[in-house]
Amino acid sequence: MLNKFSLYLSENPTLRYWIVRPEWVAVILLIISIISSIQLSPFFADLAFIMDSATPYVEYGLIAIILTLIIISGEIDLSIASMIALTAVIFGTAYNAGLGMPASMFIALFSGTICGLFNGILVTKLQIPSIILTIGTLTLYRGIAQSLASDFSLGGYPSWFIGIDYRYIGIIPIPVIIFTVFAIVVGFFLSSTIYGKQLYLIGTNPQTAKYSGIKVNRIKLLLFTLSGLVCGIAGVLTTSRLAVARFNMATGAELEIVLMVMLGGTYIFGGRGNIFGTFIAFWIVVILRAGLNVARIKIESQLTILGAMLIIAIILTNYIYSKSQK
Amino acid sequence: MQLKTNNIGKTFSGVNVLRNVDFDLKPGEVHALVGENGAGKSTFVKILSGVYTPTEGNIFLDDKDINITSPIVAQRNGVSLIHQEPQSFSHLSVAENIFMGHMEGSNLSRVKWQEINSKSNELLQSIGLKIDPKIIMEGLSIADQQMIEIAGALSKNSKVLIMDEPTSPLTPNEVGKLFEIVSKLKSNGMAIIFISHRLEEIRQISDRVTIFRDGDLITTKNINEVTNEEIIKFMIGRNIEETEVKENEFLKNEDYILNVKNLSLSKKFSDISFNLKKGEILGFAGLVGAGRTEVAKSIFGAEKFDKGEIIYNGKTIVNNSPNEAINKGFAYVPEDRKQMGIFGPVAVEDNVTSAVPKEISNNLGLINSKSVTSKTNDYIKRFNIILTSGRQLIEELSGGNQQKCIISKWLLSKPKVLILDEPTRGVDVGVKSEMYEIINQLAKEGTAIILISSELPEILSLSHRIIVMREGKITKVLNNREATQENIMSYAIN
Repeated sequence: MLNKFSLYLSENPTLRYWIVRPEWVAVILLIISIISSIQLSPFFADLAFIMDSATPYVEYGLIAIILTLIIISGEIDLSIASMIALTAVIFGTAYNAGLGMPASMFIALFSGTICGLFNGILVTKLQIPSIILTIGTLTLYRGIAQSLASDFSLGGYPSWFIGIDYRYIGIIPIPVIIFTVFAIVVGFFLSSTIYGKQLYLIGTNPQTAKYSGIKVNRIKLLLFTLSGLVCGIAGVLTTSRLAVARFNMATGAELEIVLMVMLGGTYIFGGRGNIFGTFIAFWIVVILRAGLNVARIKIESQLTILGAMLIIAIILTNYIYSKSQK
Repeated sequence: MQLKTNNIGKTFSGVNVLRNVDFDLKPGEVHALVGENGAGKSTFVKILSGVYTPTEGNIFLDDKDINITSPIVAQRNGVSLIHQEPQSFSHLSVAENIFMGHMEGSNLSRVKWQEINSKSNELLQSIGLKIDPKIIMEGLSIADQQMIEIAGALSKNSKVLIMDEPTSPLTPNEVGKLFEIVSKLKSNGMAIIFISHRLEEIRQISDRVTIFRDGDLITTKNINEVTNEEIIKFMIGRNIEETEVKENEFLKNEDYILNVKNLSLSKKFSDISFNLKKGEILGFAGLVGAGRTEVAKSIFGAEKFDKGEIIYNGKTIVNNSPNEAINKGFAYVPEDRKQMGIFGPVAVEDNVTSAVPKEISNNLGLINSKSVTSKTNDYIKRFNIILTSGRQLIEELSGGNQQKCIISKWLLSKPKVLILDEPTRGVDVGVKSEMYEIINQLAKEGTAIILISSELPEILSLSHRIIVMREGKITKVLNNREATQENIMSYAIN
């Protein structure tokens, strides 16, 4: 029965294109999480509550969107969390040095961009595997943040800057709007432009891509730089939300962000995946975390459940890819 | 020890690459194997050394039927293979490399270092090599590594030594040294199979020669009873339907679209000079490893070159990347289809349009999917590509249809200079003749074509002129009238 179905699909490529997609796994998992969360607590059906629960994850969500592009093109950036901390600390240091808000923000974004550019140059020019290189810069950037800020919390920002998560348009917090708009823009870029298509080709076979005249290195350099810039934005957003910047912000977040991308069905070895999946995966994480909080499940046990979820998603995704590859 | 094979055959996924090989090897004999690339000699020695198992037939050692199922079984029976590129563990010592796989342990399996080192020393001395067995392999010359591999074979008490093109990475001096060792082993009763493309070497070292062609053992001769010309004739003597090379009006012009002058890349090729007219098909013949692909890649901007000049439409150009080359009107159909030609798990239509981003998108980069589909469908029709739809993944198509897709991809870019590197490899006969028609048609429309092929009939039936390369150099330029398989082959090997 299953074999007959997959044979039928292989004879109808267009149908297969729409059915055999790993992001459906994420959608199903999202529906399961919503249903089980509502079972746990009736309060959960309150949309405003879910929206509020989402704001702390927006910074990770933004980066997950860019990381999706990087993983599709066959690379990875693990220095993202360190770049959040470093740019936040640079922002706090600059502001406390009396540079003023616009200049401090600019410096934060600029330094993020430089960090990303540095990753990109080493990966493309020296051909160092990005998984190794960005483990190195993960430590390096965190180290620079620590030597800049020591163990101090850099605070003292004007009140208009603090608490972006408490600003709303209707019932929707501004960070959630930023995330959604960003996801739509990047999703459109990836699915509908020639540059998006080239990312998939690079991730599928970098050699063929090079021989087809695709500027593989330049595109990868741009992606890493963009990743740094978005981490800079996330650094400033996190500082606004927490009202302070510390060197140990977002510790371990690189894995949570990678997990978000993978939960969304993006193939860790490149060439497949999309933004819709990552967007759905973001909401799975939000709803599961919030739902488990409401159900009074201890934070320690929550990780176990998230981990189990991820394993299920990976098994199903792999199964789907093995079917579609045939 | 005497080695004999009876009716050996090998089939890979339905393709018969070796048939009915009856071969014999005597102790104290050097027996040369020759044949074109793909003739079956490498497959044959891989069967003898246990890398492949034969689909049919028997192997006899001293009249005993032996079932060689793995390299270890082969070695235990005294058959060792010396690889063309030495297979060494570069971070281990010479002695460890010699005894790799058959070190005997003492109590608690501790390694008997002293014994291994002193035995290695003896073995190295017996073949006249002055190397300390305790030094690390890395940094030793290829020649030394090869000798150490031979020492390893001796340490296993091998009686049959198979050497797969051992001389091709060596300098003339090193070849001399190797031959001294080979003669010595021979006088000690070792049976040696020696594969080489260099007929002079074969004449110098071997007693008998066996010629393979298209998976068949053609004949075995005493080396004194056969001339080089006869050997070459045996190697290529297949019947092909003669097709006339198609002339076209562009060839009457005297202008060249491409002049390559003294192009060199260290260790790959040197002093490559040639001209190419519009509408001309320029064949590049030679053995695998002669440097033809490397020249093509340098022209296409995928590899650099050290010296020389490329003049295109009268102007000196440098292609720093394939992207620049494509924009100038170059196209390259690579030899390695899977690694460099296709995006496997990607739709045919995305493969076909992958080199022409500007043709399928507007100024903002938005893709026009209708144009993707229609451009692909044009070529599906024109080349009769067999598939269910343009959305089908290219890796699901047969090799021939994949190749047609790749040709389509490059024709979309409207190339002025099209480089085809083994365009019919792994393609069935029907598609092959279709491919020849396409190539002739393109030349007639004025495309300048560089055709790299290891199949002489293919080169002969398509090319207006033929460049023969050997070991990184052009050894001869022939025009179609004077070219025959025999004279091409005599310039390709030596």
